[in-house]
Amino acid sequence: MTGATDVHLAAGPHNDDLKPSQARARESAALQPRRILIVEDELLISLEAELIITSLGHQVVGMARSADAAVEVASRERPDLVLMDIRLEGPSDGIDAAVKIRNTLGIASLFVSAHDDPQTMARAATATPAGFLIKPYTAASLGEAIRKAFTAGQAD
Amino acid sequence: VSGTIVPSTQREDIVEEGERNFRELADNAPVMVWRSGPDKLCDFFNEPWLRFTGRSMEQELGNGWAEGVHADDLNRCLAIYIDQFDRREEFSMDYRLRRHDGEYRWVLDNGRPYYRADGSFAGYFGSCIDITERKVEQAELEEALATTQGALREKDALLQELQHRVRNNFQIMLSLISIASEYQTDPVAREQLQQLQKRIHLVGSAQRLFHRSGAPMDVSCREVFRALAEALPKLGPIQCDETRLDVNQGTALALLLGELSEKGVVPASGTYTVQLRTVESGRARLSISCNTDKLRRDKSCAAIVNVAAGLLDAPLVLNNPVSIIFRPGAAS
Repeated sequence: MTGATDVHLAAGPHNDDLKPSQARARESAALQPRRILIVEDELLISLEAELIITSLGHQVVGMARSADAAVEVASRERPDLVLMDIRLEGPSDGIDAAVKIRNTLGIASLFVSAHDDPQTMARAATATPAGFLIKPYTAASLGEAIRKAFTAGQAD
Repeated sequence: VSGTIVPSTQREDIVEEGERNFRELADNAPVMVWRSGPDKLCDFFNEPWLRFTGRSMEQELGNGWAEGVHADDLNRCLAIYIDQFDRREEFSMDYRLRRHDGEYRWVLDNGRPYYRADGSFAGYFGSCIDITERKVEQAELEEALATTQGALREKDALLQELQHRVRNNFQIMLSLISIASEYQTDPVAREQLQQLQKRIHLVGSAQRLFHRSGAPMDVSCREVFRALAEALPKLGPIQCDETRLDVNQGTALALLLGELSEKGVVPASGTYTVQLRTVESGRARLSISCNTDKLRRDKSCAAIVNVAAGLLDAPLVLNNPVSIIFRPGAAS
């Protein structure tokens, strides 16, 4: 048994290392209306995501249920961010799609998945994602993850 | 020069007697024995070897013995033999050797260089034992191990699939409530739906820690607090002794902290704080400094707090601080 210690909570992406003007610029950029693609094979979950994204003032430019469709819509619409589930319809998964979209279009994905095992997380890191939100999540945490994705500058 | 000068005929007699003694000893050994000269060629096999192979000494001498080695093992065997022989080093190798009845048996062959009295290299001695039964047992064990590992991998994959589905269904439930909340115009009803979503999410967050593939059934309280705090912005400083919690205790913490996040915030600080201390007899005291006035008035909150006390299997004191002494760990 060890002595009492404080539990330090993990800090999310923040602007502490930036100059105040840079931090303000990023915060301001995060509030700009952005174009977001939703990739999710569960329709109820994608409907909720659409409502949240819209309520934040952003625009949903498309919805895809498979990796191939995600790449196709992303190529056509050139969104600012992709909200990417990992398990999708079809043979490829969301990590395959995110890597392809990142490499060919330079667009980052915010992963939203029930998979958080080390192998999946390591594979997901190869897509240099804008974040990773683990299901189940709340409307508030999804909104916060999207805000952080833009504030951290991963998705521009 | 000291010592006795021995005539050559007498020396030959001594050598012959030594050879006879060696052969007598070797023929009565309970293992198969072979011997080779400095030229790598075999010049002796004992009786047990000849009985095993069913061949004559003449057939086995030189490189004749290699005819009995299984074709799949011969090149490996010769490579080891020649390589170690040239280095004058011991070797140990296994191979299949044809028995007199035609059946190939696994033997373990240990070879070692030997030297004459004057220190010159004389060749190699080797002994072999039949290890077929051991090999068969080893193969059966390896097969059983592979089968068990395969079954474990399948179980792990199934468990991961189940966990994925449970979490996804949790998310569908939360999404349904969220959609209902987005379209709800009555602010009170909307607030209730959002509160319901938070409660479900917190319980899901706590349980996620315990229901991981390969994870132990008990989890560090710090890990539980960290997971919950991500969803509880009004949760202030947490101090805890290292304590392991089981899934019921993790769920109880999620319920308690969730209710207090809405109702228990201390106006002065805007937060509520938590301490988990180990006390005597392997028990722990959970203290939450908070405002309990609202908690007492809200019947659903009070009911959920009671459920948390039930999960901790201990009475809860609903003052400020809220405190409960329970027995942490999977055994409770």
